[in-house]
Amino acid sequence: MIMAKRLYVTLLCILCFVVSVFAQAPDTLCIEVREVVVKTKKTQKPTLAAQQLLDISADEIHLFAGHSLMDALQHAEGVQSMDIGVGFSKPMIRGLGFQRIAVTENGIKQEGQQWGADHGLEIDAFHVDDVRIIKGPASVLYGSDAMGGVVEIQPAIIPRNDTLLGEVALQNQTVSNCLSGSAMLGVKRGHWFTRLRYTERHWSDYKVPADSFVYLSMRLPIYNQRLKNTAGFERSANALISCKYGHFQERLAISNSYQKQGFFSGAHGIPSSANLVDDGDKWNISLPYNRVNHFKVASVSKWSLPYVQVTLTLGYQQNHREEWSKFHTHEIGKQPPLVDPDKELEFNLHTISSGLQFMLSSSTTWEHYIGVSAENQINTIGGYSFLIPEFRRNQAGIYYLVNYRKSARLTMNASARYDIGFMQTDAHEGFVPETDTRLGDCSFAFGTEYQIDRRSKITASIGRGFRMPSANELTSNGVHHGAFRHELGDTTLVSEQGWQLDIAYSYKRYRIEATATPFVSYYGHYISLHPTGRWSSLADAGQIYQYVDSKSTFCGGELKVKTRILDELFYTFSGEYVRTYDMDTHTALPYSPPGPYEEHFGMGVRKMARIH
Amino acid sequence: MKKIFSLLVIFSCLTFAVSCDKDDDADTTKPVIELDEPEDGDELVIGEEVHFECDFSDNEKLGSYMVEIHNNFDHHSHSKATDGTVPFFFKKEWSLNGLKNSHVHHHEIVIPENTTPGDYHLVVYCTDAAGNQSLVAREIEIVLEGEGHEHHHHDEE
Repeated sequence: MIMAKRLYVTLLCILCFVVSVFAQAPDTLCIEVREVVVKTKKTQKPTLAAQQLLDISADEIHLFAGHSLMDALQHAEGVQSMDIGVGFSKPMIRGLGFQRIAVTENGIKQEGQQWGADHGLEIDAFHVDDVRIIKGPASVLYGSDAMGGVVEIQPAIIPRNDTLLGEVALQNQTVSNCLSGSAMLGVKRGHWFTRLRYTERHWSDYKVPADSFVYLSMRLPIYNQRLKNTAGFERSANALISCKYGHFQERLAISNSYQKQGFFSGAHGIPSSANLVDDGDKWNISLPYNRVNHFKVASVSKWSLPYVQVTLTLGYQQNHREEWSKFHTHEIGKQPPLVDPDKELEFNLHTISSGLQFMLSSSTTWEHYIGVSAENQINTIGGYSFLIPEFRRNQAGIYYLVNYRKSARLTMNASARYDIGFMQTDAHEGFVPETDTRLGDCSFAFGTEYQIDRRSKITASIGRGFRMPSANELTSNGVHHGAFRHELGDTTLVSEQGWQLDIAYSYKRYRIEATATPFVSYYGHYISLHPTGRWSSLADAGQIYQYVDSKSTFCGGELKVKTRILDELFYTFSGEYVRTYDMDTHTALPYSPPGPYEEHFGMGVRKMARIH
Repeated sequence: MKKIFSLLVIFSCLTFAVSCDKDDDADTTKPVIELDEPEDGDELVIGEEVHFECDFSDNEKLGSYMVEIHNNFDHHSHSKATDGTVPFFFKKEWSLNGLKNSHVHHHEIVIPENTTPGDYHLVVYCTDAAGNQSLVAREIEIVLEGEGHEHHHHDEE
């Protein structure tokens, strides 16, 4: 802000000077004007001008970094982190979570949300620079899974000049003795830029200020105030290679993230006190545990020609997850397998994503985007337990977006997209039959942004988003210890569809900034788990919960007020509220964010040092 | 400016209308289970009936209850296929006929003669008519007749 102001002042001074110079034309005068550098940030993806965007800087992410990336992002208003276990958390935007939020990095959507509720994000928080959050339906640009919003990890900024970058970061957290270390090395030479990062994180059993807890009506002990077997570790390696020749730019990102995490024995199935006896080692990981490996390669190629920009995105990712637990079965009389008798669940998902986009901008007034995208997935399973079957899913979409800048004060946009998806799931004896689903749907959005005066601005948008039901919603049939529920899919489910209307009003003065963003949405088919009242025939399970679609409404908003007390000292208040309502059962929807509202008070000197 | 203000007012009214169209009149209160017998740590004898005594109550209408007994041998590291153990597994449901309160007392659960003794879990689940579910779990031990009776303080009849 200050920088921009300074720039304006400088430009203005130069202009005044030049004008005055020309006014005295008769005497020729030679003036040398110092170089003026005007910097703009070019966005990677087209944005709907009226969309609710939140930009979170790398500094903020590192300041709030906890156990995962979401710990840092939940400080943004309207964004919640759904903590589903030690070290696992999922993003939620305005009360929508799971597959309704797309997380993208290098133009590729992060996969792995198909396996039910207890699955986090495999992204190294140290590797993330800036993050942009889109609130509200964004399925027009990001495909069917972005119905509730997008968490977009922004591409790394490539230095202009030849340089050598390095960073070593260490972080310690006391409750879990978590020690994280991350090292980065970057080299820029001519047309090429390479950046490598390695991060490792280890944590021990969590410390809690209690000696016992009550679970399923049993009082169970906690020895030495530590939750047994909650230790774990995480390692990830990231590489970015980029080159730029004339109009052509290429970015290749390769990453691998591995995590092994113990499950608290006191909350895995029905606990028994004998399982909670301290094993004397707070660092070991014993059964039950889970391990996750996520490998990703993404390539973004861009040709920037006058009036046309072509972007080709190609990606491959593999999600490999295993849950290990001593053989036990929910099916009566089942024998343990001969190989890996303690492997409870295994999922192996391969995804190939591709996209091609043309951006045409003949003038500063009109901007057109036309694109196609496709995604192919294959999932295989293993282990003695069953949750979801093997499946193949293929999806393709075509979209068009137009931005129209009528004047400096008024911007409008419109967009439309059509998607078609096919999913085949294999039969699993005694659990699910073979299914074959074909769904197609369209999404669209309209928006406008109007600068009322120098200080206030209003944006409004209305959009329709949709999401194809995922494998677990269609075909799951089993008990998952993470949720401790018998979940049953429904193969007849149709796409989730919803409308959202939102308005944002912002006001800015020298010492005060305020934003209010109310929204309301309606879903004709919203898929959620409902109790059935029928008892499961499986051992260790109560009643069956089934995925049911129902009419639902969401409403709420965010309010943020930021005042500047001193130049570098801010006081920020932000509140958010979401109300969910299932019109069929007349209750709130499951997984609604806690409490009627949330408040964050933050105060501090906002000056950060980053050493390169 | 005025137009925008009226737009904002309309919008807030709409939001309010949506959020107030119906109150949360649905039942979200879980039923209450008070399991008197068996108690935690009780020993159940092979070949005998289980003394089951429990009170169920709900703010509206009870649905049904279910009793499950499954083994807890080696605490979830279960028996291997070939060692000849016969872990007892029991699962049965009973209707509570839409009552608000119900006192249940029966001896319908019988531990079969061929059951392998050891640690077991006994879990009582209950739902109400709206689908709210509660459960109570007990750690129990199944013993052979004549064994372990000295700690057996089960005051049956």
